[in-house]
Amino acid sequence: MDDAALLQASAAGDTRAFGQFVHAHEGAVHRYLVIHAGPVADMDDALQETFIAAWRGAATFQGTESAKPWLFAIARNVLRHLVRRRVGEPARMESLDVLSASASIDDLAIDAGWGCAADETLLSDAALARDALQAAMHRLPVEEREILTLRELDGLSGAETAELLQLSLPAMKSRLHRARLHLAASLRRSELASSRSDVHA
Amino acid sequence: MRDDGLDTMVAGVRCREVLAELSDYLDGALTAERVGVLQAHLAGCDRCTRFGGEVSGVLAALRSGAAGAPELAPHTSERLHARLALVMLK
Repeated sequence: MDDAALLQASAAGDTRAFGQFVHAHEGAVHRYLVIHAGPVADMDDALQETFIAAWRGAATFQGTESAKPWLFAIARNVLRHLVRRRVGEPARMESLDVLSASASIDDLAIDAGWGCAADETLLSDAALARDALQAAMHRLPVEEREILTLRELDGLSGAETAELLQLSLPAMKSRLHRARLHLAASLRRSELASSRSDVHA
Repeated sequence: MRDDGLDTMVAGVRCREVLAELSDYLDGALTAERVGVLQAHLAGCDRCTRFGGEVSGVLAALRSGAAGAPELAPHTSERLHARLALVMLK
């Protein structure tokens, strides 16, 4: 059964269908929540609240294809409530990259290696390993991490991503482009730092 | 204005323009006509060709490695299903 059929059955009280739906999407929703909020203590709550809201609101799903955008919209709302609950707690430190969030596309491209000499290896296999990519993702501003996750990992279309993020399509594309270059620049910066420390070791 | 080479013109297109459209090019979101224009530039521009391959490689690695966040821990999944079982009984 596809998402629409599973949710239709869930709305009619079919708990087995909803269990199947949860199995299909719990990993993606968890990733979405962690990307937004970091591995915070109440992540379990956020994940549970998201699927409880999905169970109660199953009849409101109007789509015909993947329910991911619908689920992610619910997860965003859950996180907003959690943030409100956390008022008074110290703000979580956002990840910071050395690159300014306002760097131009030109600057990002040059930092990411555009214009390097032909004999200069840009990124090694090690730089593209899972851990290195994870670290580079976490150095990005949260909205760039979010859009890369939605488009590259969860496979949402441009239109779905724009709708979820409440952006126009051109604004979504612009953010995605910047995020991609920023990721490449971040990886390259790590690689350069690593090769320098090897030289000095 | 700095001379970073981005204004280099190849096949009637500046490198700066190619960089601005790189994501759309990689996503297949450009018209066939525009793709032809950019491909003519890429055929004569090593810097843009190498860079396009680089970004494309980063995205392929990202997609294949699912590097965005840690995997869902089994106990987190178990707690989720246990709580849902209670909620769905009501």
